[in-house]
Amino acid sequence: MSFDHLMKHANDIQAKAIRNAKIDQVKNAPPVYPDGIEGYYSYIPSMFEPFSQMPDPASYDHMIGNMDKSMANLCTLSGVDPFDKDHTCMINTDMSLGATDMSDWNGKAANLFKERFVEPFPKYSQNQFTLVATVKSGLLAYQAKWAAARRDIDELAHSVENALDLTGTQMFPDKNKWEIQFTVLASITAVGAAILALGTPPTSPVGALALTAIGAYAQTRAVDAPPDLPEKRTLQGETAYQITNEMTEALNKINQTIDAADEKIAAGFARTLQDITDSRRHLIANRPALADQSSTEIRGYDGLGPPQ
Amino acid sequence: MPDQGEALGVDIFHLYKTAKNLREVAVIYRDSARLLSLSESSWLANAGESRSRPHPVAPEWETACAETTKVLEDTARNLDDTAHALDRTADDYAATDQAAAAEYKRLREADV
Repeated sequence: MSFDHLMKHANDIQAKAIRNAKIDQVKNAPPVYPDGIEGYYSYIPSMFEPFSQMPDPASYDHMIGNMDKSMANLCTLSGVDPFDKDHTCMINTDMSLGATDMSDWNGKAANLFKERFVEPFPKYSQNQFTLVATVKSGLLAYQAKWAAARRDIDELAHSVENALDLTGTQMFPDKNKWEIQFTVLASITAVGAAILALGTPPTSPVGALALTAIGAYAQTRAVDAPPDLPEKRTLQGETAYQITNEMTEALNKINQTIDAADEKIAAGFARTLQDITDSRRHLIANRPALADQSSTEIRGYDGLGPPQ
Repeated sequence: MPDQGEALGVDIFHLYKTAKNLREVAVIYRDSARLLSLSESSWLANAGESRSRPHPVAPEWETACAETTKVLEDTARNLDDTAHALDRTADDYAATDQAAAAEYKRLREADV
């Protein structure tokens, strides 16, 4: 991968386009350059410059690492990361309410606390593990998007430079065609993970409970639907003018795929937000009444009840 | 007949143990929430690095991250507040029964 040298490629493309255009002129190939050949092809580096500023996918590693640490805290039943096949957690034995002993206290709030907070606690925590994994999947999607965009722009730059080299050395070049791929949209995909049904009755949901998002296709363990396939395009051209026109269209296409990926990720997380709202009682237990009772109330039958 | 004296001391010691467990787990939840917040703020800073081509921030992702952080923080707060209520109740009972208070103190000192 020579993405770090993208601007050098851009400058080389400009130089070779100028070189070839001068040869094309000798052959009376169109177009005519009213402002001169050098002036016409001066736009090339500035077209590549924004792409050279794309975020480094590795810059997401630290943030993803923080998400992994957060998940490690919450892992109570299963350490399988549903959206990242390179990541598995150990069960966190510190994440336990096993030391609670409320057997002496049987008031109304005490019994509800035991039944609806303590007993189902591992399942709530595991659902929160899945929730954090869902948010993390968005980071994986952005990371995959930028990696794919860098790959596509690098491949395009190389292919354009090769095309200029090939046709520039021939006085009467053969038909010149080459193929490139747009892989950004294929790098991300819809993901979904089941969460445990919990909460106050009725607990049985209609249909399966799931959190959905957009994640990285290469990372996810199982996909609900395959992503868009990489889009292939055949470019062609024998003159500098034709080749650089193809190059411009392809650059615009890469731009479009990046924007489309952003929209897909945003739409995916709009669904995630709805899932969080719909599933909230399965993601967090109701606040124990004990937490808000007065000193008198908590010692009564509606609170902890008489000590026994 | 509700427990009194030493038996009550044991009962309120159990409240103390429960409160201690709840607080320990609340610490873990706050750490999880902190790590999520760190990721969110780092990502927003990273997203702005592209000077020539503004990288759009996805408010939907940001909100999902914030909502998730809130779930963890709310859980931590519920654990802490419940722990506080249990501790307060244990102290209230100990204040009214000397024998209970003595047994409660002995058990706490042994629970190190």
